[in-house]
Amino acid sequence: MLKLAAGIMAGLGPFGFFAALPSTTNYQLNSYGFGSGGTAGSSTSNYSLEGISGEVSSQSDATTTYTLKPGFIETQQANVPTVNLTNPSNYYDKLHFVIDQQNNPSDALYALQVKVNDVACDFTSGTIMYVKSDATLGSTLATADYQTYAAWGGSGGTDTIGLASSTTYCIRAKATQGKFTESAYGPSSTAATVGQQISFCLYTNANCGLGGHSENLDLLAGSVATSGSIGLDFATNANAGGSVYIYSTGALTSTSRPGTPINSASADLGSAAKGYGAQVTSASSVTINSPFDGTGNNVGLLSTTVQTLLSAAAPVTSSGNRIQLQAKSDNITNAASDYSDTITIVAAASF
Amino acid sequence: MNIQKLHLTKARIAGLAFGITLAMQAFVPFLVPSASAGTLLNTLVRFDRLAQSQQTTGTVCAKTSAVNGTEASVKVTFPTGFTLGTAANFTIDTTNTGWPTGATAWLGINTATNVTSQDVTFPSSDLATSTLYCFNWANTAAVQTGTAGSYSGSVTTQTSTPTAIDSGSYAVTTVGAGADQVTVDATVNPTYSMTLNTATDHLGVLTTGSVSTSPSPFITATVSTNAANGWYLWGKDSSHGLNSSTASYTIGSNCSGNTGSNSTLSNGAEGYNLGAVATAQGSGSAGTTSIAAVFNGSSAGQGGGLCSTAYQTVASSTGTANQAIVTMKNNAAISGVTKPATDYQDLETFVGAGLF
Repeated sequence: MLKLAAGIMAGLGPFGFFAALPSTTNYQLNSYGFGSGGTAGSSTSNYSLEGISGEVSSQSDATTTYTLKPGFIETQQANVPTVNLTNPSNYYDKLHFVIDQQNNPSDALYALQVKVNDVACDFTSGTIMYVKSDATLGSTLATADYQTYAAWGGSGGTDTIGLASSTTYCIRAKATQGKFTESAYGPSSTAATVGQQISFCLYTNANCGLGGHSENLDLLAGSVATSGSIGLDFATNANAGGSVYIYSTGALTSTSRPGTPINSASADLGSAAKGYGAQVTSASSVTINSPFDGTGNNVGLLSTTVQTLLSAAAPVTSSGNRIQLQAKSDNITNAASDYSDTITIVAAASF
Repeated sequence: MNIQKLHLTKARIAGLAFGITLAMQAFVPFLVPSASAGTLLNTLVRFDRLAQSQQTTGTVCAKTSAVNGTEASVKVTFPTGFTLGTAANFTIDTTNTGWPTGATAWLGINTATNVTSQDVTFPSSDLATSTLYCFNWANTAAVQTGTAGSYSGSVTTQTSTPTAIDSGSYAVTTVGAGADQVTVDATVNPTYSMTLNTATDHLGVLTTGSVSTSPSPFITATVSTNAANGWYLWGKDSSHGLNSSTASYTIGSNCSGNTGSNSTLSNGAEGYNLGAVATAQGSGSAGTTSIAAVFNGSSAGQGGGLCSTAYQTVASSTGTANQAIVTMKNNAAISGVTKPATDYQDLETFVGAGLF
């Protein structure tokens, strides 16, 4: 609905009407007054004029609770919006805000002011930032940075991005709907980014807390031997997620009987005469990368080159992932009790 | 040239100021730095060891912003608490070692040129916008991780000045000694198998006109073992020869002094022996099978006598065997005075073992 405010100018005298508001099928005068003449919101392509003769004009005045803006037609003013700033999921470089329109029409535009690392949220001093149209912060507020409620994400809100980690931000919003209608800033809302995070735990006992970093394989020629499960917990708040990587010496080798190492290979040990490899038997919230995604006796090559074992394309908390080793010796694999390999598993995140 | 003198009234000054203000707004988009420039779209630094106080290689990846400058170097800031080597230690390679999908080799990357505090500067060529580049530092002497804990660092692309173009930070966690590794111990249990292809060997009717020999496919002992030092095949018999209970007579083998001796039987001369040859070493076998000299059966009728009182070595090998085959033949000959009977028989026993 188009909101109209009009002044009935000279000729009507200082009398007010308290009857029903004048209206047509499409429009209604929500407010009007009587003055000595003038114009409200008149404009050309280059200039606009807000001039109601006979009305009070002075500097703004304010107390803690109220603000007086003489000279403005209050009924033209957009309602003062509120905004809620949160960090819903360990964000380190962004925060989420949702504007409350306070019944402003859908074509109202909103600008957002930001204060950084100010617990008191004092917007009257220090460096003031603004949410730019691309949702980053900037030191200036341009016309393009006034966006509609929908453009700022509507009821779902949007993220302001490019923030510093471990930093507190205050934000407040103002609204406007055409010329001479800009509201004051509303109340501020505060939230903080967290630090960049990555955690990683490798264990061969039941859980991370119980630790353990060894596995045993008991091989008999022609049979597939399986290890106990290797546990892996991984978490990061990196926007692009992260990966878990694996590499080893590439073989089970014996010091005392070095002639017949059990080389690692991507293979089905059920049919292969001999081999050694790894398989992810369970994973949580991460993708198992080939060739470690086999089932049964299909294992992936443990190479001396670092390979991606698990990956996630978004922030992830993944615990209880399980890796199993399988090995098979053949008739001519030297019998020995000192075969060994060292598997290294590391993690990295893409911030 | 005509120059019109401007008459500035208050109204004109106000109007001019207003016009300038409006005009300036048109330039605002150009005055405000682009939000994406200055921030790497992705930053990843992988340490190939996460254990504390561990020398390590690693990988640096960064995705340039949509509006970047002309890169001439990249500065990698390693976490405080990590110990760095010299610039010469930071040799690099561009082998894809689990790089993120879409990553390409960093253009113009080379051995670091400077290490100052935690900052390591590598040369770089100009990079494309919005592109993910990676490189590896390949020498473990370059970086030693700190004590177990959480750390952060950054990656910054720079101009030749150098002035920062894009920058991004990263986090890394280090764990206790050895906590990024699993030691795998394995035992390959000893195995030995030997199979005989038959339990009987019919020599048929012996005559003075020929030396009778085991019929094809003869007697084969197939041996498989993972004994690294080889294996042995031993044999003995029940009677020192072919014995007939009805005739109470034995066609004796040449088990001389329980050690036997190698001989070749001939027509009409009574005798009995066992000859063996190694007919297959077995695919992949590390050992070489050889026949004991006493039981060398490479010629017709040639062999040695099994003894009834002790095992004698028939064959042996120097290493593992994967279905190595020893083929054995019994040879028998009679003379004109050999007692006739239909129940000549001998019971041969073969055993084997691996030398692990």
